[in-house]
Amino acid sequence: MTRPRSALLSGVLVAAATIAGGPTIAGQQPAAPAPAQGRGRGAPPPPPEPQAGHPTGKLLIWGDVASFDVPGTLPTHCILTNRFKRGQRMGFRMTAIDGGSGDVENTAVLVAHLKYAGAAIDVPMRWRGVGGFPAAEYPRQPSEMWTGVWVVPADAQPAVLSYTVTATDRFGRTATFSPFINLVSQIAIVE
Amino acid sequence: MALFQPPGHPDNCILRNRFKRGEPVGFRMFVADPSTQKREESAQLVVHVNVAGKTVDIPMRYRATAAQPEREFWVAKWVVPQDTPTGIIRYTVTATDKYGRTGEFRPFEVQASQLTIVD
Repeated sequence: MTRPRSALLSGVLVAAATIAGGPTIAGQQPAAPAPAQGRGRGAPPPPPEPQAGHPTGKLLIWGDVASFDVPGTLPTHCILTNRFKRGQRMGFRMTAIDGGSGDVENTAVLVAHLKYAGAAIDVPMRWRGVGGFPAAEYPRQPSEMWTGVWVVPADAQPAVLSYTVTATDRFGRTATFSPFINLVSQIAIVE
Repeated sequence: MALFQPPGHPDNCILRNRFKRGEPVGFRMFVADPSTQKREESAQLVVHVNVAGKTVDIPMRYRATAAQPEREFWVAKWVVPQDTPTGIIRYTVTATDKYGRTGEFRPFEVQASQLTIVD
């Protein structure tokens, strides 16, 4: 059983971001058809088997954004930021939790939805709990994290962007994440 | 985690995990009831910062008010002491609610993303 980073003991989940209630995923595009930037890792692995005791409670998700600059040796790799320059790799990091047990819900499929230049861009996210990731960078494995990347276009204009993340799991549960509402904390493209 | 400079400061509330001594580290949290996905307003939250071998407990404040009900999150500020050594600072956040339920938050375990004190 995959243990969560955000422990859930007797019922209260502490999360770092807003978790909206209700089936708000309706009408949004599923993860599979949308192409992702910066991929090329081949076909995704098959969905994991359900974990014992799941599902209980609601599906809960939360996360943040970070610089996904590569290579990983760059000093700005994986630092938290919400201000990105053209060409920079904007990283979405999320986790999904089975509300009743507090375990990571590793069957969840997450998609970040970014509003950019009047268009909606879907960024499929990848579960980091499978595959070999460097232990020096991810000391707690398997990782409870899902990640997605969007590269700021070279012709992007400075602007504040909004985004949400939606999730659905193999049990049909859904969840929607929105970042904290402070304007200055929103994703921004800067010079 | 964000920089909690005073309101009006151009960098107030930007996301960041690297801080210099004297800078205000801002913690923002949300608490969800796992049976409803809704906010649990009765929750009491405390940030536990482990610095220089000691744990500093910082109670969080629920940010929503009658005038600003949309601010459905908890906040706390910790100003990095001048004698803090450079490096990673570990922290957790714990919560309890009026029903006696508890929870604990830990940030993503990625070294470069941890709260880090820099020169």
